[in-house]
Amino acid sequence: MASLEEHLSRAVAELQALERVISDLQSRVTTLRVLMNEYDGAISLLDELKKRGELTEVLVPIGGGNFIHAEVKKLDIVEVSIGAGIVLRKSLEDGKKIMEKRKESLSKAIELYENQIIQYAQKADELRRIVNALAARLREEQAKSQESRS
Amino acid sequence: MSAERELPPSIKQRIARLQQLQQTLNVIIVERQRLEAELIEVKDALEELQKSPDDVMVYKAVGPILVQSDKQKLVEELNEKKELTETRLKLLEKQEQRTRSQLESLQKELQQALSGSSAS
Repeated sequence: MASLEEHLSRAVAELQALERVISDLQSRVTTLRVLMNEYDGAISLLDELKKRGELTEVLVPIGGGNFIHAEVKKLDIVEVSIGAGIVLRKSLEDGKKIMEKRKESLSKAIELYENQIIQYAQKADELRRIVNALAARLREEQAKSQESRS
Repeated sequence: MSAERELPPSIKQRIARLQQLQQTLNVIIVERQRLEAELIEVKDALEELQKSPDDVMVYKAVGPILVQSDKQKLVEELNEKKELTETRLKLLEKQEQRTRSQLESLQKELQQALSGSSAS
Protein backbone atom coordinates (compact mmCIF):
# COMPACT_ATOMS: atom_id res chain seq x y z
CA MET A 1 0.00 0.00 0.00
CA ALA A 2 2.74 2.40 0.99
CA SER A 3 4.79 1.73 -2.12
CA LEU A 4 1.69 2.13 -4.29
CA GLU A 5 1.10 5.63 -2.95
CA GLU A 6 4.74 6.50 -3.41
CA HIS A 7 4.74 5.13 -6.95
CA LEU A 8 1.77 7.37 -7.65
CA SER A 9 3.41 10.46 -6.22
CA ARG A 10 6.61 9.78 -8.17
CA ALA A 11 4.68 9.25 -11.40
CA VAL A 12 2.75 12.50 -10.85
CA ALA A 13 5.97 14.42 -10.17
CA GLU A 14 7.56 12.96 -13.29
CA LEU A 15 4.48 13.80 -15.34
CA GLN A 16 4.52 17.40 -14.12
CA ALA A 17 8.21 17.70 -14.98
CA LEU A 18 7.54 16.31 -18.47
CA GLU A 19 4.64 18.71 -18.99
CA ARG A 20 6.92 21.63 -18.08
CA VAL A 21 9.52 20.49 -20.63
CA ILE A 22 6.81 20.12 -23.31
CA SER A 23 5.44 23.58 -22.57
CA ASP A 24 8.96 25.06 -22.75
CA LEU A 25 9.58 23.38 -26.12
CA GLN A 26 6.20 24.58 -27.42
CA SER A 27 7.00 28.17 -26.54
CA ARG A 28 10.36 27.84 -28.31
CA VAL A 29 8.58 26.56 -31.45
CA THR A 30 6.18 29.53 -31.28
CA THR A 31 9.09 31.99 -31.02
CA LEU A 32 10.90 30.34 -33.93
CA ARG A 33 7.74 30.40 -36.06
CA VAL A 34 7.33 34.14 -35.41
CA LEU A 35 10.95 34.63 -36.51
CA MET A 36 10.37 32.51 -39.64
CA ASN A 37 7.38 34.71 -40.53
CA GLU A 38 9.56 37.79 -40.08
CA TYR A 39 12.12 36.34 -42.51
CA ASP A 40 9.34 35.54 -45.01
CA GLY A 41 8.11 39.12 -44.71
CA ALA A 42 11.60 40.57 -45.15
CA ILE A 43 12.30 38.45 -48.25
CA SER A 44 8.91 39.34 -49.82
CA LEU A 45 9.54 43.02 -49.10
CA LEU A 46 12.95 42.90 -50.79
CA ASP A 47 11.42 41.17 -53.85
CA GLU A 48 8.63 43.73 -54.01
CA LEU A 49 11.00 46.69 -53.67
CA LYS A 50 13.29 45.22 -56.31
CA LYS A 51 10.36 45.12 -58.74
CA ARG A 52 9.55 48.77 -58.02
CA GLY A 53 13.15 50.02 -58.12
CA GLU A 54 14.96 52.72 -56.14
CA LEU A 55 13.29 55.94 -54.95
CA THR A 56 10.07 54.10 -54.25
CA GLU A 57 8.03 55.91 -51.64
CA VAL A 58 7.28 53.78 -48.63
CA LEU A 59 5.66 54.16 -45.22
CA VAL A 60 7.91 53.15 -42.33
CA PRO A 61 6.21 51.92 -39.15
CA ILE A 62 7.09 53.92 -36.04
CA GLY A 63 4.97 51.83 -33.66
CA GLY A 64 1.35 51.79 -32.59
CA GLY A 65 0.17 51.43 -36.19
CA ASN A 66 1.64 54.82 -37.15
CA PHE A 67 3.92 55.58 -40.11
CA ILE A 68 6.27 58.16 -41.56
CA HIS A 69 7.01 58.71 -45.25
CA ALA A 70 10.36 57.57 -46.62
CA GLU A 71 12.07 56.83 -49.88
CA VAL A 72 14.18 53.77 -50.64
CA LYS A 73 17.59 55.20 -51.51
CA LYS A 74 19.58 52.05 -52.16
CA LEU A 75 18.40 48.65 -53.23
CA ASP A 76 21.64 47.06 -54.35
CA ILE A 77 22.86 46.62 -50.77
CA VAL A 78 21.19 45.36 -47.61
CA GLU A 79 22.30 45.09 -44.00
CA VAL A 80 21.75 41.45 -43.03
CA SER A 81 21.74 39.82 -39.61
CA ILE A 82 24.04 36.81 -39.42
CA GLY A 83 23.11 36.02 -35.81
CA ALA A 84 24.92 36.61 -32.51
CA GLY A 85 23.99 40.30 -32.75
CA ILE A 86 26.06 40.94 -35.89
CA VAL A 87 24.84 42.68 -39.04
CA LEU A 88 26.77 42.58 -42.32
CA ARG A 89 26.52 44.72 -45.41
CA LYS A 90 25.77 42.50 -48.39
CA SER A 91 24.58 42.77 -51.96
CA LEU A 92 20.83 42.26 -52.34
CA GLU A 93 21.29 38.76 -53.77
CA ASP A 94 23.87 37.64 -51.18
CA GLY A 95 21.73 39.13 -48.43
CA LYS A 96 18.71 37.17 -49.61
CA LYS A 97 20.82 33.98 -49.71
CA ILE A 98 21.82 34.51 -46.06
CA MET A 99 18.20 35.11 -45.11
CA GLU A 100 17.12 31.90 -46.87
CA LYS A 101 19.90 30.00 -45.09
CA ARG A 102 18.81 31.38 -41.71
CA LYS A 103 15.23 30.43 -42.53
CA GLU A 104 16.38 26.90 -43.32
CA SER A 105 18.18 26.55 -39.97
CA LEU A 106 15.12 27.92 -38.18
CA SER A 107 12.98 25.36 -39.96
CA LYS A 108 15.37 22.55 -38.94
CA ALA A 109 15.31 23.72 -35.31
CA ILE A 110 11.49 23.78 -35.39
CA GLU A 111 11.45 20.24 -36.78
CA LEU A 112 13.86 19.07 -34.07
CA TYR A 113 11.82 20.63 -31.27
CA GLU A 114 8.57 19.27 -32.72
CA ASN A 115 10.03 15.75 -32.80
CA GLN A 116 11.12 16.16 -29.19
CA ILE A 117 7.60 17.36 -28.29
CA ILE A 118 6.13 14.21 -29.91
CA GLN A 119 8.54 11.97 -27.98
CA TYR A 120 7.89 13.72 -24.66
CA ALA A 121 4.13 13.75 -25.31
CA GLN A 122 4.19 9.98 -25.88
CA LYS A 123 6.08 9.52 -22.59
CA ALA A 124 3.57 11.83 -20.87
CA ASP A 125 0.65 9.79 -22.27
CA GLU A 126 2.19 6.57 -20.94
CA LEU A 127 2.75 8.22 -17.56
CA ARG A 128 -0.84 9.53 -17.51
CA ARG A 129 -2.10 5.97 -18.07
CA ILE A 130 0.14 4.74 -15.23
CA VAL A 131 -1.04 7.55 -12.93
CA ASN A 132 -4.70 6.74 -13.68
CA ALA A 133 -4.15 3.02 -13.09
CA LEU A 134 -2.25 3.64 -9.84
CA ALA A 135 -4.88 6.10 -8.61
CA ALA A 136 -7.65 3.59 -9.36
CA ARG A 137 -5.79 0.84 -7.50
CA LEU A 138 -5.15 3.12 -4.56
CA ARG A 139 -8.85 4.10 -4.35
CA GLU A 140 -9.76 0.42 -4.52
CA GLU A 141 -7.37 -0.51 -1.69
CA GLN A 142 -8.49 2.43 0.44
CA ALA A 143 -12.14 1.40 -0.04
CA LYS A 144 -11.26 -2.20 0.91
CA SER A 145 -9.43 -1.09 4.07
CA GLN A 146 -12.39 1.13 5.08
CA GLU A 147 -14.78 -1.77 4.50
CA SER A 148 -12.69 -4.10 6.64
CA ARG A 149 -12.58 -1.52 9.46
CA SER A 150 -16.38 -1.04 9.53
CA MET B 1 -3.32 5.87 9.51
CA SER B 2 -2.56 6.95 5.96
CA ALA B 3 -0.29 5.00 3.65
CA GLU B 4 2.05 8.03 3.46
CA ARG B 5 2.71 7.80 7.20
CA GLU B 6 3.62 4.13 6.92
CA LEU B 7 6.81 4.94 4.98
CA PRO B 8 10.07 5.08 6.94
CA PRO B 9 11.57 8.60 7.05
CA SER B 10 14.75 7.44 5.27
CA ILE B 11 12.67 6.35 2.25
CA LYS B 12 10.67 9.57 2.28
CA GLN B 13 13.94 11.52 2.26
CA ARG B 14 15.23 9.52 -0.68
CA ILE B 15 11.99 10.06 -2.61
CA ALA B 16 12.25 13.81 -2.04
CA ARG B 17 15.87 13.72 -3.18
CA LEU B 18 14.84 11.75 -6.28
CA GLN B 19 12.23 14.35 -7.22
CA GLN B 20 14.76 17.12 -6.61
CA LEU B 21 17.29 15.35 -8.87
CA GLN B 22 14.66 14.95 -11.60
CA GLN B 23 13.91 18.66 -11.49
CA THR B 24 17.63 19.50 -11.57
CA LEU B 25 18.08 17.23 -14.57
CA ASN B 26 15.25 18.97 -16.43
CA VAL B 27 16.78 22.39 -15.75
CA ILE B 28 20.18 21.13 -16.97
CA ILE B 29 18.66 19.69 -20.17
CA VAL B 30 16.83 22.94 -20.99
CA GLU B 31 20.02 24.98 -20.35
CA ARG B 32 22.12 22.55 -22.42
CA GLN B 33 19.73 22.87 -25.36
CA ARG B 34 19.83 26.67 -25.05
CA LEU B 35 23.65 26.66 -25.07
CA GLU B 36 23.74 24.25 -28.03
CA ALA B 37 21.50 26.60 -30.02
CA GLU B 38 23.68 29.56 -29.01
CA LEU B 39 26.82 27.71 -30.10
CA ILE B 40 25.33 26.90 -33.52
CA GLU B 41 24.41 30.58 -33.96
CA VAL B 42 27.89 31.79 -32.98
CA LYS B 43 29.59 29.25 -35.29
CA ASP B 44 27.33 30.20 -38.23
CA ALA B 45 27.96 33.91 -37.65
CA LEU B 46 31.71 33.29 -37.42
CA GLU B 47 31.71 31.29 -40.65
CA GLU B 48 29.75 33.99 -42.47
CA LEU B 49 31.98 36.76 -41.10
CA GLN B 50 35.18 34.94 -42.08
CA LYS B 51 33.92 34.48 -45.63
CA SER B 52 33.47 38.26 -46.00
CA PRO B 53 36.25 40.60 -47.18
CA ASP B 54 38.30 42.30 -44.44
CA ASP B 55 36.90 45.74 -45.27
CA VAL B 56 33.25 44.63 -45.10
CA MET B 57 30.86 47.07 -43.46
CA VAL B 58 29.87 45.33 -40.26
CA TYR B 59 27.71 46.35 -37.32
CA LYS B 60 27.25 44.98 -33.84
CA ALA B 61 23.95 45.16 -31.99
CA VAL B 62 24.26 47.05 -28.72
CA GLY B 63 20.78 47.10 -27.24
CA PRO B 64 18.48 48.54 -29.91
CA ILE B 65 21.34 50.31 -31.69
CA LEU B 66 23.66 48.94 -34.38
CA VAL B 67 27.20 50.19 -33.85
CA GLN B 68 29.69 50.12 -36.72
CA SER B 69 32.48 47.72 -35.88
CA ASP B 70 35.58 46.04 -37.24
CA LYS B 71 35.54 42.56 -38.78
CA GLN B 72 38.71 41.37 -37.04
CA LYS B 73 37.53 42.61 -33.66
CA LEU B 74 34.20 40.85 -34.08
CA VAL B 75 35.90 37.60 -35.18
CA GLU B 76 37.95 37.71 -31.96
CA GLU B 77 34.84 38.43 -29.89
CA LEU B 78 32.93 35.59 -31.51
CA ASN B 79 35.83 33.14 -31.05
CA GLU B 80 35.95 34.09 -27.39
CA LYS B 81 32.18 33.61 -27.07
CA LYS B 82 32.46 30.25 -28.87
CA GLU B 83 35.16 29.01 -26.48
CA LEU B 84 33.20 30.21 -23.47
CA THR B 85 30.00 28.52 -24.67
CA GLU B 86 31.88 25.29 -25.43
CA THR B 87 33.42 25.27 -21.94
CA ARG B 88 30.05 25.93 -20.29
CA LEU B 89 28.51 23.19 -22.45
CA LYS B 90 31.19 20.67 -21.42
CA LEU B 91 30.64 21.51 -17.74
CA LEU B 92 26.91 21.15 -18.16
CA GLU B 93 27.29 17.81 -19.96
CA LYS B 94 29.40 16.50 -17.07
CA GLN B 95 26.82 17.80 -14.61
CA GLU B 96 24.06 16.10 -16.63
CA GLN B 97 25.96 12.81 -16.67
CA ARG B 98 26.58 13.01 -12.91
CA THR B 99 22.93 13.84 -12.18
CA ARG B 100 21.73 10.98 -14.40
CA SER B 101 23.95 8.43 -12.65
CA GLN B 102 22.90 9.77 -9.21
CA LEU B 103 19.30 9.48 -10.30
CA GLU B 104 19.75 5.92 -11.56
CA SER B 105 21.50 4.70 -8.40
CA LEU B 106 18.93 6.42 -6.18
CA GLN B 107 16.10 4.82 -8.19
CA LYS B 108 17.71 1.38 -7.73
CA GLU B 109 18.22 2.01 -4.00
CA LEU B 110 14.62 3.11 -3.62
CA GLN B 111 13.24 0.16 -5.52
CA GLN B 112 15.20 -2.19 -3.26
CA ALA B 113 14.16 -0.31 -0.12
CA LEU B 114 10.50 -0.15 -1.16
CA SER B 115 10.33 -3.83 -2.07
CA GLY B 116 12.02 -4.58 1.28
CA SER B 117 9.58 -2.39 3.24
CA SER B 118 6.48 -3.81 1.49
CA ALA B 119 7.74 -7.38 2.07
CA SER B 120 8.22 -6.75 5.80
